Amino acid sequence: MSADQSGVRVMLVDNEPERAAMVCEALTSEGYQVVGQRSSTRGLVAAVAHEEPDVVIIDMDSPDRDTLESMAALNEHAPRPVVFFASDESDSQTIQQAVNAGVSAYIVDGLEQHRVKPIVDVAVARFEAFQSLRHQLEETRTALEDRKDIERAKGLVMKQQNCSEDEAFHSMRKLAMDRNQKLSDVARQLIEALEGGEGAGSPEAMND
Amino acid sequence: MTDGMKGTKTDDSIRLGFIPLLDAAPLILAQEAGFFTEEGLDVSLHRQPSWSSLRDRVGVGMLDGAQMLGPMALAINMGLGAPPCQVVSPMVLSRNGNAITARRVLYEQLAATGFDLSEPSEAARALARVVAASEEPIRLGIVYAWSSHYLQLLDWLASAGLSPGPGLELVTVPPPEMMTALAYGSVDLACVGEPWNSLMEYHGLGQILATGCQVWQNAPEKVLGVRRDWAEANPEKLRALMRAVIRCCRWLDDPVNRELVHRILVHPGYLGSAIEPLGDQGQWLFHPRVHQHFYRQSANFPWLSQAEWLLSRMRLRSQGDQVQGAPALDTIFRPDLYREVAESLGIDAPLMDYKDEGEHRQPFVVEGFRGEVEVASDALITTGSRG
Repeated sequence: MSADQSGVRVMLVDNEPERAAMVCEALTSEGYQVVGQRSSTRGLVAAVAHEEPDVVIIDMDSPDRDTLESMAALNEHAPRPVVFFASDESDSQTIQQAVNAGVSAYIVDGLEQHRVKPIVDVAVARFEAFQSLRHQLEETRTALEDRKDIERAKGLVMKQQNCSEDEAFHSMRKLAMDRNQKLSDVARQLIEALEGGEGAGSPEAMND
Repeated sequence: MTDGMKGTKTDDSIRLGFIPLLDAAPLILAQEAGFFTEEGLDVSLHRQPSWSSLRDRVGVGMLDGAQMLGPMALAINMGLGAPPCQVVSPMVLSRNGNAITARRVLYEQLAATGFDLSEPSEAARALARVVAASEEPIRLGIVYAWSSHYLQLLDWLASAGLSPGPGLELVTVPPPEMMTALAYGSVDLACVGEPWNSLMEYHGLGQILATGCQVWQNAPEKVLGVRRDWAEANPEKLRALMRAVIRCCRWLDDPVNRELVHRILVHPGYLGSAIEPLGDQGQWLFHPRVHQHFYRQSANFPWLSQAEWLLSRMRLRSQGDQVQGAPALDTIFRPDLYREVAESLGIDAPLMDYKDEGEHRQPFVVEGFRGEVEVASDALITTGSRG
């Protein structure tokens, strides 16, 4: 990033410390000055006055956004939400993308639009990367749990049918195909049936 | 319930946002008591952590509509504080519902002035007396600038010649944190929507000093706001949605349903266990001084004169020249649409779009399409600066 951005001060408010660290690193490497990385907006008003950021990047789902926006409505020099006046299509796309990623941005007292957009872009990219990391993590976790359940069901079937591991696996796979269900779901049903629901939890209780 | 909103919509369900306040009841109960289903609608409700994110999600089309603050329905069309989004507001969801609650210590100081605190302008005069005598500033907690609470608070202060300034500081606090703020004294007076005033009284933290309905009698509080492009693409769905919500509002006003209302609102996906103290039969759900209601006396009718009134107060109370231009209010509030839907339900509605706001100290009748229609009183506190 050109020296043109080096003086821009960014305040980060995010209760996901890992995500905040990612955004912070990315912004710093682009030459921005990250002032005050915070997990909560408690005392944010005072912090804004003290640190004098040019831009505040905040997690869209922070309940304290209304606080920031009210400051903007009530005081001349408080942060204002970034409004990319729909001068072109890419601006409204930026807004859409930011909301989808969960990023909201506020500028303090007149930083030019064209200097804000790259900051928002950096934050959006990191928020999206964090999101997909978390998805991957969840998928890995689910896959691990599935494998554990399948192994456990296999063991139970082997014991009950007095058969080999291969035979147990084949009968489970056939059951899954016949019922048009996932193998892991069949495994969990088998565990529940063969162990009387022990450890299977009560899925009904989760509903409503 | 904010999950599952990423990505594009695949079915033809209606996505509505709400904020966990008592006046989200018309949408929540329309869902849970089956009014949406009876109208053939598939609606998903999405709880929002702040008014800002509710507005942004409607703005980019992640939500088709939402429970909105009256002033917000205007602000979003005008692009105040965010990119403009065309929103239609065809009906009101609730009347009243706000109050100004004083911390116990402050309440005692106010009572000691000898003013009659049951009269709102007397209570404001008592505050002026305390502010003048206090070395420390008195802190007023508000929740959002473009809200009826805030506008009502300023009118209430103005009735005693007060306005925020060095002796009377404004602090913004999210509603769920207002109780803590009052408990620890970072706020002396809290101006917030229900159930928070009732809960602050219940927990012995403060006492209601004045209510929104003492400032603006029976003012529209929350409205239904839907994206104009959605409304135009789905005219029949919009009408079915309004029918379901109007029927639900009528049902909500019937006290026999309180217990069920409480049982549903206390669910963690809605208002949660915070409202448990308001009676396990919901007997204290609606504070008698707040006069919150949803249907009676033409509560759902979107008067154009009320849109004008809100806009004039926003203009008067905002910083500098933020509120510029004059949006075509009759394309935002839609009494014509309301009338059509009400008629399809066999409910009468006023034939006129305007009334003399602030001129009615008693309920009055206007001409409807089938006969006389009763309308609630609408007296306003005297501020000396009527917009």
